Amino acid sequence: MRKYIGFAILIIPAFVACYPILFLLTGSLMGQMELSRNLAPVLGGTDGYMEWSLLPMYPTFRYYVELLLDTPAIFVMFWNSVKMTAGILAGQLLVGVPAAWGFAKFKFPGKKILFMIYIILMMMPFQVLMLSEYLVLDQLHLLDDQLGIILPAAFSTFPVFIMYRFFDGVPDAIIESAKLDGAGHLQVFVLIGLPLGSAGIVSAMVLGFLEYWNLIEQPLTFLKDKSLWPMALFLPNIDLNHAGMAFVTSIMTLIPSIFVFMGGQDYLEQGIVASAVKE
Amino acid sequence: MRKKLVGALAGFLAVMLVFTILSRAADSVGIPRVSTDRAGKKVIGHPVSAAGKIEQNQEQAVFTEANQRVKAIHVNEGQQVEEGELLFELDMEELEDQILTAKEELEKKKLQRQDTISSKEVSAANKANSRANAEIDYQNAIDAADAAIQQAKDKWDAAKQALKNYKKSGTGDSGEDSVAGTLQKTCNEKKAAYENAVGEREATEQEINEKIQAALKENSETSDETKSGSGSDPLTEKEIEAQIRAQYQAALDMAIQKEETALKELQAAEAALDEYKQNQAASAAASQQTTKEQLKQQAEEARIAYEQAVQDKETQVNNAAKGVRDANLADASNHSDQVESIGIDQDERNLKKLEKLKEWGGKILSPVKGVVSKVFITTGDRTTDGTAVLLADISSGLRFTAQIPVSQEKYIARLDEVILKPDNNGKDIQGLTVDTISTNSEDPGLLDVTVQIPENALEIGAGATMKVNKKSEPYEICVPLSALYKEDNQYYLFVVEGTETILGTEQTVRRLDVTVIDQNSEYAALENGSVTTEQDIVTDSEKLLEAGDRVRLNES
Repeated sequence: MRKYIGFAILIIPAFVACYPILFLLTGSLMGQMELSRNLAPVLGGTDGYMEWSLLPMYPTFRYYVELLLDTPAIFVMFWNSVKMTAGILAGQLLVGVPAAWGFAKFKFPGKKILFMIYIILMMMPFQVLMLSEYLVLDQLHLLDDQLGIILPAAFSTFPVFIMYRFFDGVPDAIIESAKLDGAGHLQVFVLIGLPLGSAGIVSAMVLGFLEYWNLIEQPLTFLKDKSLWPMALFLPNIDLNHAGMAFVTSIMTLIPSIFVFMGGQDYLEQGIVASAVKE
Repeated sequence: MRKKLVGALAGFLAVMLVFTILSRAADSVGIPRVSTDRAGKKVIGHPVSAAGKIEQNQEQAVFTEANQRVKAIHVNEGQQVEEGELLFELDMEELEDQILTAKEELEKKKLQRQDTISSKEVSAANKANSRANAEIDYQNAIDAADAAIQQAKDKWDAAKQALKNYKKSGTGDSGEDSVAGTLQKTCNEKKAAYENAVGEREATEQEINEKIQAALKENSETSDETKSGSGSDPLTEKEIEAQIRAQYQAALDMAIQKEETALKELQAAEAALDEYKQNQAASAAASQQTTKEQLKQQAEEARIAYEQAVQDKETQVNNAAKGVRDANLADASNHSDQVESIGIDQDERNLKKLEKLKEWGGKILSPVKGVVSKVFITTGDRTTDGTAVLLADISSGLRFTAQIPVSQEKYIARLDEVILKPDNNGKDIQGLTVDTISTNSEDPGLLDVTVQIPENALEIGAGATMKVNKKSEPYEICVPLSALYKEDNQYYLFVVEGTETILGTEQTVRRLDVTVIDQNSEYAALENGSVTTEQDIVTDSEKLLEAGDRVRLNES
């Protein structure tokens, strides 16, 4: 009985949390007239409150067709997003994982200070770093180039931080025993560290994907050539005429994220649990 | 589970890939393909070409006297004739017949003229005559009336005198005597006047006769001289006499008239005397008492008679004056003899022409070397006064004529070089120039262009095509005509430019308004500055373009 009460109490917030997705789904199936009527108080400047119905009165796939078949531009941006995200994640794997392992298992002078700097950097929002990043990229001639977005993000401190927590949880005893067995640093890292810390790595990847798939500020600032833009920049201004397209674009952006999250949510759970348990 | 998700993600990405390609394909279907070109420096030529034919520069009309019969025609239309070649012949018999008739007519007219002259003279003489007569009548009327008045006055005076005498003497015999005496005196006077008048008349007649004799003598002397000359005809004796008589007729008439008047007066005076004497006899028987009354009455009657005579004079004089005025009225002008002279001259001229024709034997020759254009006469018919044969005068040169529409007027001018290509595939004739350009008389929308051609180059009637190519100066900016569009009298073209979009560099077209300064059928010259030579201009496109349209460049 209590289970059901608990369930009942929780379902409402859950619904509220899920409502935006539903909103998106129904909106993408609505025609222009309906959208204009519903969204007029928000986007059109009329008085009153917005109306919304859970089921569209006249559902139409019009905007899907328009986006998928009539707008080759969205696909250019889609593949740009894919490229950038894959690049960033690869870079983070390449750079961030060893960095995290190093922070977790090695002692070296200035480790504390360096870690402090990492945390500070992690906390700073992009707007603070924007100008200095621009100048540095300009000097490196990486402006208007996708590498100018991939490289700074690949060296991001956030995944390092997450993975550090996981690597920290790997018992030292195993490493010692491995060392006694004659394993070198690399072997220890690859054969023991990576498998045991894989949960952390994956969760960092998942969180990274979610962040970099929806990147807006960096591309807008550093990329002038529109053919290099990611999908999030497809509709920088959403107005009443483009509401339908905006909905469908959002759905298209959402689907990979759903896949990724569904694939990685176990690891995320594991990660959270793991960090709670202290050896 | 994870594998499935990875598979699903892979599937999603694959679907996205498919849609990527599909959307590109769908999008590019609507993009028109265009060909482009650049503006360049070119010369805009305006060739004017027209087909025409060769014709003569001048025409000659050959004509002859009208109303002649054509005996034979020796040429055909289109035949070339030399100068002096026989064209056609006229019938000689008919011609001679006409000459003879003309001569006779001329003679008739001359005689007619003579008659007219003489009748004019006669009527002039008559007029003078009647005028003189009227004068005489007038004078006579005055004289007669005067005489009557005088007579009446005399009678009145006599009556008054008788009365006076009677009053004085009582018997009145002396009065009666004086009356009778006065009347007698008057009679005597009149008689004397009459005898005078007779003498005058006889003297005048004598004078006339003498003059006639003298003139006749003169005439016979001078008639020999006038016979040889070609003046008017010699006068006859009768005519001379008539002339002289006419001159003195007036004087003679006057004399005769005077005589008659005098006679009348004498008779009147004698009648008056007789009458008085009769009255006296009649009244002698009357008693003496009534003599005074009688005398008074007689005086009164005489007075009345006198006044009547005065009035009568007025009437008679007026009548006579009227007669004079009538006789003096001018006649209408009569120039019929001059008219006839003119007619005679005309006939003489015509006769000369016919005689000249006879001299030529009725043969009509060609005046120039040429080609017979048209023959208007037919054998056996009569000629008219219009053209008999029309010749195209070769000796004055040949020319080529053609028509061009007025819109091409500015591309051709006098002295422009012309190349003629004969229709019979002969060699092109070069080195010719445009001779004249003028508006066609029938159609104001066409211009006639003529080119003088050298001798013996082509025949009359041959066809040819002329080409004039007037080259303008080179224009800096020329585009093909297919690149120009026109809207509301504004020419424009499309320039292809690259724009940066999400899909990369896309070609879009931009509309550019231009001004055309010259054009022919292939190229148009634009004003400097409207287009640069680096811009790509759309010369051909699959579908109608609008400003801002995306386009694809044709693979060349």
